[in-house]
Amino acid sequence: MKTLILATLLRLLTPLFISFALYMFFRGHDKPGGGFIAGLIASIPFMLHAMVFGYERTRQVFRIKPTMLAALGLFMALLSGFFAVLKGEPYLTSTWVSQPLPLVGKIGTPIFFDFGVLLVVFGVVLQITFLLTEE
Amino acid sequence: MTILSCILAVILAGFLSAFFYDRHRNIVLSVVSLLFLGIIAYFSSLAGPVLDGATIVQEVIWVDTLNIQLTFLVDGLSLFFALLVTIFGLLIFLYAHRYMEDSPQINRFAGYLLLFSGSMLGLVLSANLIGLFVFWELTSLSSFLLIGFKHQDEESRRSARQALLITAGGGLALMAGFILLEIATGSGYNLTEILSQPEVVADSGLQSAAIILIALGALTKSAQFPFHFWLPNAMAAPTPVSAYLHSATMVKAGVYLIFRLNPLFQEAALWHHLLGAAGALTMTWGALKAFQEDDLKRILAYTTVSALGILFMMIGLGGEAAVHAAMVYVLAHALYKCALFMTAGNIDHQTGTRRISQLSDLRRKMPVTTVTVALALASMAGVIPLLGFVGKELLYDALYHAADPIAMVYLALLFLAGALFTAVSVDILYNAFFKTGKLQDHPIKEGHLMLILPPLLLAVASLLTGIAPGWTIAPLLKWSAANIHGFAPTMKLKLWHGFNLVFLLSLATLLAGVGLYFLRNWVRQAQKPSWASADFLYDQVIAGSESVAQYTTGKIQNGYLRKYIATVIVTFSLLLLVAMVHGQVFQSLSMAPLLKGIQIYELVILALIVLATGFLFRVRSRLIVTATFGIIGYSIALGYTLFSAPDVAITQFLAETLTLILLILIIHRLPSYTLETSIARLKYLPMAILFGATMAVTAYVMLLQEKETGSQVYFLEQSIPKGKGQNAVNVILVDFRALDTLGEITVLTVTMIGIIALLKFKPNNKKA
Repeated sequence: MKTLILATLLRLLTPLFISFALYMFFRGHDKPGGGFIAGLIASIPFMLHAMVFGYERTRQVFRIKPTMLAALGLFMALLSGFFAVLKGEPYLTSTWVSQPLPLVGKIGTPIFFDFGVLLVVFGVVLQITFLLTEE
Repeated sequence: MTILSCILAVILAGFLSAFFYDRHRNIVLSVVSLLFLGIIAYFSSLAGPVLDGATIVQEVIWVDTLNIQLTFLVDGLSLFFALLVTIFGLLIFLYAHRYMEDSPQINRFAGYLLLFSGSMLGLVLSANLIGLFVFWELTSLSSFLLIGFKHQDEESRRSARQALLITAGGGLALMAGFILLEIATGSGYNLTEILSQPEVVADSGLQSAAIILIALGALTKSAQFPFHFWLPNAMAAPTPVSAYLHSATMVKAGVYLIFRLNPLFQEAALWHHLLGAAGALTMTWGALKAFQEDDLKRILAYTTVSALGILFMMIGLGGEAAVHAAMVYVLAHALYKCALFMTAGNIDHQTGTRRISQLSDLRRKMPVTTVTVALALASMAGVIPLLGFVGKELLYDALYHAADPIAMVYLALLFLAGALFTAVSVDILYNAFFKTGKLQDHPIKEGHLMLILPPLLLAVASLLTGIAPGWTIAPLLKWSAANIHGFAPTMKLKLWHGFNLVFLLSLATLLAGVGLYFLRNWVRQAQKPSWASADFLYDQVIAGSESVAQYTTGKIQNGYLRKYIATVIVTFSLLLLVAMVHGQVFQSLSMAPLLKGIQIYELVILALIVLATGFLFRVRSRLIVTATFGIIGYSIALGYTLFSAPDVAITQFLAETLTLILLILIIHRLPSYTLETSIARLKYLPMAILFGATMAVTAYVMLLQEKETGSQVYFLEQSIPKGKGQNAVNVILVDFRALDTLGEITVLTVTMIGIIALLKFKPNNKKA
């Protein structure tokens, strides 16, 4: 399925999709969005890439193994809950920086948790796509 | 804390040995020996207070929320068994160091052995039933590993499996019994507390069930009838294992358990009848089988089964004298049987055979071993002045003076078993050591010092404790026995009780045994048919359960994906419906809110979904099916946006798109439809309607219920102050209900691994 239009567009679309995914991720706590949605959006350009150029090519471009990303995400989500344990609170209780930081905004453990969700979704979807496009 | 450290240190030493024992044998040996010596010294230091009647309890906080603590207790009984485990453990480790010298994977062997030592130590010291159960199963597990140590050997593997199935299966019954005790007393599985309230257990109505379940655990562990057959098969293990686990310690775990729980159940008739009958039967049968065997280790295994039967029978008889006799006999048996197993190993090691019919002349070739065996066999037969004699006198005495009429039956059977023990002893001693035969000219010599010293020590201990039982073992055994029957310590031991009826009985046993020896050809002819052998029946049961499993698997795993899905959704729907009917959800169900304020665009979406679904039944091409599914999915997402759930709608849109893409990627790999006609497909229509209806009703019911519980309001109100986010859906996902999300992403990852396994696995490629 080698189409020139899509192949050319992908160069432009990939950063766009990823920025959009990040945007969806960071606004997620206050407006519609969040880790799950962001993970799905981020995986779309790579899925398209695999469809257009074939699995082998995508694997070369995309150096990290998706399984590693998924594992990393799961680990991150698991780990984020331990902040609370260190403070003597029940596992996964959210902890926030008391004052919002300049530029970054409010920071708390749910962000790491949500990013873990993002990575898991991203990794799983990509892995499945890669497996299916692999001949 | 100290006791827990001791147990963990032994297990840790096991792990270290598993890694380093093959390369640094001597270092590991000295470390392990020092560790054992240290633990023995520690427990000996506890002997002072324990012999004054104190009970030492150590508690480590474990599962505090369930009120389950890791408690250890040292009283006379547990101290006796702890010393037994550690002292014998040290001797066995030294012995095995030399005995297993040339075998491969000796590091694993040492690791398993130490894992067992640690678990056994934990078992006899635990004062919490959960802890006791965990250690109990750990001993079963390490026994499994040790029996199957020669894993290239089919027979070894089978024996290991058999032992694990039986002992671990009994362990499950034991667990159930413990839970019943906990239900009856509510003491947080605390052994001391449970033991202090036998009346509560008796009045709870659970006593009989608890007795049967706990007895099942003990009977399986100690190889009592009808579970006796695994022990002779367990002789596939290397000899040090047989000497340690399968004579002195692990099989005594069942005995320890009934000793420990005896104060709780000693008023119950069932307890006595069950243990007494099983014990008497096993004792007689084991002794008879021992006399028929030719292999030294199997002979010893059957006499072990028989001796354990004696112990169960004595608890079955009950009463102070019986408990005293049982306690002395535990020690007597451990001493002589462990020594015998080790010498059997020596003989095997030096001559290459363990069959009595192949052996001869060992008296001249292996003089030290001869002394050891002669002493140990004399103790087994009950010859004065060895400890076995003291034990046997006490057994006879307790049975003779018991008020229970069944004691006379026990006495007669014990006489028979004792005579058979004597006959076996004479058989081994004469035919293997004194007879002149095949081995006369073979260059056989005594084994290494480390091989002959440990059994000799044990045999000499049998002699010394037999000569002076009063001031060697009585102080400790007195307190052990006191813990078993729950009274003040009264035991007094001496070698010579005077020339009385019991002594005559003892003497008659020896004579009868020698007499039986001459009848051996006649006794050995008696064989029961193979279908009555427990081992055969075990095989039948295993084969039966395998074929049942195969049949049900064939039925359930039929290979049609649509049937799997049909089974899942029908089961799910029915369960849900039953639950809802049971919860009386339908009584108060009103359809009014459903039809209120319905809008035209809602109806359009509804119509789209219904039309697309109907269309699905007519389509033959997968591509069109996929596209139609897309229509349904997007319509549903549209519905979400109408009901102001943008998050869910976005997710639905994305998921729908991704599903479409994924389906298109694999669509060319799928086989064509197997259900060609519309009629064939229609048979799934009722299921589809059932499932759809159930889900719709469930969603509707939940919608109505949610308003009542107020969780909706709570989440919306608390989202900003507690979750610091305006998007309540996201706050619920990553904060309030983060554990659920964690579970979901774990499932997602597991699914991915499953998909990798499914797609990467090529049935034709054997290497993949």
